[in-house]
Amino acid sequence: MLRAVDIRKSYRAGTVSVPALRGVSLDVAAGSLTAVMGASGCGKSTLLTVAGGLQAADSGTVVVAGVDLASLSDSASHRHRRRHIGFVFQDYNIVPTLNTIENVMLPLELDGRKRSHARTEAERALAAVGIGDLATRHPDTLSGGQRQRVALARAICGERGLILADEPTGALDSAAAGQVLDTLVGLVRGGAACLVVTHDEAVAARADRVVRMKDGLVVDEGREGTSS
Amino acid sequence: MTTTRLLFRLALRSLSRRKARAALLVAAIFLPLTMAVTASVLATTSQPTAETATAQRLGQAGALLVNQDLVGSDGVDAALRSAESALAESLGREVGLVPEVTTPLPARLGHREVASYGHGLDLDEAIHQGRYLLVEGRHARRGGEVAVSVEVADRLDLAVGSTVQLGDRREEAIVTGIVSDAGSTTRSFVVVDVATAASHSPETTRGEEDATGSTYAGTVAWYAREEIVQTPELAAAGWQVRSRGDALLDHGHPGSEGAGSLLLVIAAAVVAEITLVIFAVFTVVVRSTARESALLAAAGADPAARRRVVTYQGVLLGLAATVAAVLVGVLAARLLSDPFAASQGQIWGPIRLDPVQIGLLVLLGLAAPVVAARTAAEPAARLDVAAALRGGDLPGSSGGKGFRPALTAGLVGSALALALGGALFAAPPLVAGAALLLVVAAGTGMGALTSRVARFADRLPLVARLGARSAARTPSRTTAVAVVLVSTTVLAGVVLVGMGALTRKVEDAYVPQVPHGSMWVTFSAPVGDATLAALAEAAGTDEVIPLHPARTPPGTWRDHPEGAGALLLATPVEDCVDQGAGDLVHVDDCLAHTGYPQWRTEVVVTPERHLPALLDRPATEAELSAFRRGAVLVLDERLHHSGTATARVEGSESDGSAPDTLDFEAVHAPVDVAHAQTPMALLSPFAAADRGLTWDTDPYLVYVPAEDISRDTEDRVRALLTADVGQHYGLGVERGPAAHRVLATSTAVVAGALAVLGGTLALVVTALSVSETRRELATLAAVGASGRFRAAAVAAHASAVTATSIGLGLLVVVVLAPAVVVALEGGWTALPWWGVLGAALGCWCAATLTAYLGSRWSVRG
Repeated sequence: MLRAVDIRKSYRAGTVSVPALRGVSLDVAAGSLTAVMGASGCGKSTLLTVAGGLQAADSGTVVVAGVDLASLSDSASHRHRRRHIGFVFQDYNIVPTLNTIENVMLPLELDGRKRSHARTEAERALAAVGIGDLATRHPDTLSGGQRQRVALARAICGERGLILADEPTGALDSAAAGQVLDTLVGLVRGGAACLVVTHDEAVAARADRVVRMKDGLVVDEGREGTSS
Repeated sequence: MTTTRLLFRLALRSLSRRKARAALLVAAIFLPLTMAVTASVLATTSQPTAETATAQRLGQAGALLVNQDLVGSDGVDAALRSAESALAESLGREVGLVPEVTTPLPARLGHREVASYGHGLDLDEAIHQGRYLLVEGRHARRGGEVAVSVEVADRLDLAVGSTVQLGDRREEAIVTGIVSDAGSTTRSFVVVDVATAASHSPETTRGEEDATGSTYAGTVAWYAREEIVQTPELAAAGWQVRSRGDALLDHGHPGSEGAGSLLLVIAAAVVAEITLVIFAVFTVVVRSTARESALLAAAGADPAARRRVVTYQGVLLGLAATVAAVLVGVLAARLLSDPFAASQGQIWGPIRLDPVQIGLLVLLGLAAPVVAARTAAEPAARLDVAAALRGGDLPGSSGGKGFRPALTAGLVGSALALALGGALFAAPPLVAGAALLLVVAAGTGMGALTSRVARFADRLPLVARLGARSAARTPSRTTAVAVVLVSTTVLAGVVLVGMGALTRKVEDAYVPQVPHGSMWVTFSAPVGDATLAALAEAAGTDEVIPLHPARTPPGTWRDHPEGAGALLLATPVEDCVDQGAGDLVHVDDCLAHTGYPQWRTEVVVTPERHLPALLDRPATEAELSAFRRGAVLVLDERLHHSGTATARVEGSESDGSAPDTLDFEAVHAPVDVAHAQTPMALLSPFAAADRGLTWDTDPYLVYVPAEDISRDTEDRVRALLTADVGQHYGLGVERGPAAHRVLATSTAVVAGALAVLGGTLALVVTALSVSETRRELATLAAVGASGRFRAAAVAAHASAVTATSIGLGLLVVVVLAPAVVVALEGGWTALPWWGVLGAALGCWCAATLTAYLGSRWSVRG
């Protein structure tokens, strides 16, 4: 579902170029959960945003659902992201002006789908993450775990195949983190490909594969856990 | 001291860390303050100093003396010779006098003529310094030379070296120079030597009108080098003296006429806006820096210190903005001064600063940001530190759930009471107070309003929904923006509606002489058909309408210029004046009160073919039938009673005839607008002859109907008539009251300025507000929203806030407008409303467009 080959990315800090990724290659297959671990500043989040097309790599190839992201125009890139990639962030990033179901419907509405169709799909996604009864609630009234499951529902709504999650359990207590992780694993078992950036060993323990990064490079790639 | 220095440093760092935002804040203060400084300097410069105003009238003379008795008894030439000795006799000592003769002296070139005045004086005399400006060439020094004013030169295409004909004797003179009044460029006059002006002065003197009231006799003014004051002896000898000291005192209190008053109104409005803008901006800033305040608190800063950090930002921003605003404002005034003065036909001279006004503006520029920042800093002092560190919002204003609606209702109620009081007692300050309360009420009610707008937007497309919900979700920011926009809209609306009301007041009191664009000519000498034919040709029209008053024989109108023998109908104006005689009711008051255009109305004999032109429409069958059977067509139904019009025939001293009355059948022929010069009672020649009446073959009035007679055509007609009848005519073209033209220009200027100001303020405050929604924009990007969609969402937010605020502002203007109109004792006119709507639309478009374009640029990353 995701193939990244020799990705390089640098940031400029004044006149100095700071490398964030120095040739990272990675494959995430459908129905698998890959965890990326490493110290702060090692390039994990940059890898995630490059993989999701939120920013372009300096060099290398990112292929999602069979399409090279570099070959897409700006508008095609947005369309591809809406249809194939779902993001989950540590601090939820729920649009505060929309209620739960409207947040989940958002990518489909942006994609020009009919509102009724978007609503049906959103209800299905909310049910899949176990919060179907919270559809009309406002994000402000939800707990952290519930908000993160709204984000998960938004990420899978419309049968998108790739979930990119940045510390999805980082802001949650252990009980809520466990529920979110269960949901995430359930989605993977349903066929989604998932790339998770995390410091949480519990997440790594349930991943099909754990990739460790250091200074912009993949230093270890092994199977530490099982997403059962 | 150490703490203060630390807090100042923190404030400075906070500003320098967000340079773009600091620049926007400075701009928000700088822009209106610069406009206020510029307006203040222009207003001060437009008002001449007492010394300048005195010099424009008296030059360097110590006194100006006039003695029309002397001129009247001796004639101009003799008066010029005897004035010094006559003055010495009354004064008891000899005083040197420098004369100036003023007389009607039309200037003519080819087939064009300008009705100008001639000033006969030696402009090279030092005593006249300061009265005129020599634009080009030199002054006239002898007979055969003339200096013409800028207006005369423009209208006759004259240049130095041209030859021009002066007066009805058509004496040729070489143009030696172009001059203007020291304070104005629009007056038509020529300057010749004293002897030339005296030779053109009419024999009639004492400044009385001639038979038609159209021309005035020459006057002589004498300028004394030494100061002379009026004494009973001088007054008894007919001398009117204006000393330099009196002139200086009189000009020490300049009026509010001219450009200055308008500029001051704009400046006052702009200045009032500053405080609201700064408060709104700081409210947004304080909310966006809640986390910083929380970090300070966590480090041990008490609420007072946190408040001071924000307040000191206000100090620093105010200082930077005020210094820049004063410098740029003065520079702008210097650049605009000459074009502004020229646009009003004035000469202002070097720019001048009123230290008090500039001082007040500087004080305002420094104090307003501090007060606004201090007030807006309150939430930073009261914040929940733990919540703010977690990214929570700042506390809102105090008050329970029902507090705001109750406050809003109270404010609206009080405002309406004030507006009513303002209307009842004709007190504009009360209406201004009502406007202020309604602006505050708009601020307190804005939260509820945006919630309703957001609910309404639920049915709209996603982008509109997001925009409306964003506005509703951030009530404090929305209110801050709204207060700025509502107050700007209200200021624009109230100022324009007020200007419109005053203009309408002037227009209502204005009585048009003839239909707009047409010409009328009065004669005090016989004119032949050839002259009338030439008049029609010069005016470029097929039709001139000579009008003849009906008379009873044997009285003749030239023997009795006030109308002995004429048939006069009782007019509403005469009745009004008669009824109010004890209260000294003026004719002009009665003209305005009754809406009737003439004091005296004569029955005028005219052939049937002129009826359409005089009625400004085809005559109806009933009117034609009545006219043919001998009835009088009256253009105002108040001229007849039950179908009968009674004309009184004034007695004549020359033939000893007694006053009499004559009844006519009268039919009302309504017209859209009645005029002062065109007749109000029409009788056919056959009917007049049938009743034994006569009428003069020479017309006393000729009406020339036209759409728009130009000044050039007017000058050509003058040249023709002067050639045929000398100065025995008066001529006018109806161009309407100047007030409407002033209103149109002022409306465009004020609407444009306020649209720019409102749009810019909306941009500044919206940009600050939108910068706080970057996180939402990033989320939208993550779920696949394109840059265009995100920019549209931002624009929808700005649009929702702007449209709601401006709509609320327009509602306040509509509510206040009746009170404004009544308080100013004015009337309704449509133009200001177009100006208000134009300014509102411009402001909304500017805010929406700049929000879209700005966010397109900023979300590109």
